[in-house]
Amino acid sequence: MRSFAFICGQESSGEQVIRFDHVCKRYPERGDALSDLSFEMEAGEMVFLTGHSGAGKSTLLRLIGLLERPSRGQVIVNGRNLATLPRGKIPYHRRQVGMIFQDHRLLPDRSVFENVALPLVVAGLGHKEIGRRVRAALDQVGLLKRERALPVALSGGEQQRVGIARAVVARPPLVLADEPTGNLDPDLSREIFALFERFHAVGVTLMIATHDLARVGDFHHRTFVLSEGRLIKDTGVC
Amino acid sequence: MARPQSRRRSGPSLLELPGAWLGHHLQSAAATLGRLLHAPLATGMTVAVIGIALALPAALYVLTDNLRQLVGGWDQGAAISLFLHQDLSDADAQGVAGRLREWPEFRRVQVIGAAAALAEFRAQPGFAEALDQLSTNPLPAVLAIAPQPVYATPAEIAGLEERLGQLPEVDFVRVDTQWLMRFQAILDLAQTLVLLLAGLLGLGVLLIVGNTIRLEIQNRRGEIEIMELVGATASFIRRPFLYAGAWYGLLGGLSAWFLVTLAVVALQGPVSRLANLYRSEFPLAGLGAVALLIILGGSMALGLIGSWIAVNRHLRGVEPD
Ligand SMILES: Nc1ncnc2c1ncn2[C@@H]1O[C@H](COP(=O)(O)OP(=O)(O)OP(=O)(O)O)[C@@H](O)[C@H]1O
Ligand SMILES: [Mg+2]
Repeated sequence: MRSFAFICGQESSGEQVIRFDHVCKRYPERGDALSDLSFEMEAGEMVFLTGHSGAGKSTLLRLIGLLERPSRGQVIVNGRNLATLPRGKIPYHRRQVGMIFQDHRLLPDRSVFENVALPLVVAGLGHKEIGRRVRAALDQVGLLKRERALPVALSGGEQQRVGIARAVVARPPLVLADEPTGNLDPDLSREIFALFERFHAVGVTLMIATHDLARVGDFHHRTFVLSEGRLIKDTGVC
Repeated sequence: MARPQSRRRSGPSLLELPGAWLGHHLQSAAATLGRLLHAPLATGMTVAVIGIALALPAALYVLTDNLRQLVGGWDQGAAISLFLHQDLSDADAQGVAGRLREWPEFRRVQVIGAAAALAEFRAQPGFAEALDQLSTNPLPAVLAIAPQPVYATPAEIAGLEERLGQLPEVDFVRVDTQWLMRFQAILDLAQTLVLLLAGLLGLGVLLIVGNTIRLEIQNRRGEIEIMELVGATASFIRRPFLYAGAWYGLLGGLSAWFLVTLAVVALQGPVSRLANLYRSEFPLAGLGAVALLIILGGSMALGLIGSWIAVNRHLRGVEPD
């Protein structure tokens, strides 16, 4: 069994990591993608975000990663109100949030190693430290032997795991995943969720948007159900 | 395989930071150069265009520089002729010349005694018979004066003419300023042309680099977006583009220097042959070290400014989605 102690999230301590306060997101062409959304998430929690297509799951995650700004209301992450975060501080906010996408978002002309190293390079870490951490992260997702490969040479599940390694390599306390298993068969998807489960075990705060209700049923974690941009169900902390 | 890693989260230590920062810059500069050289054709085209653009004013500068030297060799003859009063002896003329040699403005004061002047005339075909008709030497002693090059401007010469005319021994002063003025005007014109051309083509270089960087930003849009997603600062993303601009400028400046040097080497033969026909020698001067430094520094600055403009205009539009 692999050890995941390298990921250092906070222990569940009652510390608030995310707070949404009457958040609305309106797209001029479409209307409200999210309306009057309020919830809180504590450090070390693992939350599934479900709901029909177009319910606003991606929009919610994008607000946390500051890829989008709310039309109304406030998003507070790690005690910081994102609305008042100056432009120059956004990169430092994003370093605290590991993001995983359904389409992986890997650089096609860079090796697996270089893709995973990107957050560390960007943060200005030294060569040795980068090599050490990237290999540790690749080891955790079981891709240590593929570090020289280009993303196209990998299967969908492998590419997704590279995306996951990149999201956690800088040890962010918060990890967001947007349909990380959308294209994967049940076995692979189980494998990916097991990976998240292990991150959770070492204290990382996770929010995972997914359609994969079978997987959600496997675990007993807090689950949000979104519909038409509203939070219609919150199972609460389990 | 179990591998316990107890190390907790830690950033680079404070001591490492300045080294890492400098190292990052050097690495970024080297990596950018490597990337440019990886596409030799595209890079070569851009560099060649910059080189040609900069070679034009540089070549014109070399031309005026050489002309100036050529004329420096010309003013062997006096620019000022001082005709002394007829009744002064050659010895008196030597006395005046001695005093004038003390003047800092003059490079050379040469006495042409009355007898010598007559002999010179006599040597001209047809003059001998005419001079024989005269019982006395009609020619005065003349002082041929060459001013120092710094005083060889029309304004300075006019001032000298005035002062020399007031000397009691002097009958009249004749100054041959015409050619000086003309030549000065030509040099001024050429110099202005060099500046104009340098300004215009410098602007061209700015646009070339700006456009090249703009295209590069477009091509690497996806990469930039992902870098922003993982927390790259604006300056981190800007840096390689700025380095690319500086490299384009520097390489362009080097190729301009290479082109001009090539032209000087190619022209040296014909110029030497021409000079030989005039029983003279004329080694062409190329771009000096100072001019080379100015070209390299200037072209690098132009590349940097060009890419800076492009980066500020076009990177703002790149947001991750
Ligand atoms: N950039 C945008 N411009 C306009 N409308 C948008 C934009 N992004 C999202 N929307 C709209 O907002 C709504 C919520 O979109 P979102 O992507 O959050 O849904 P989702 O729950 O992630 O759906 P899916 O499960 O299909 O990914 C959708 O109706 C979508 O059309
Ligand atoms: Mg979505």
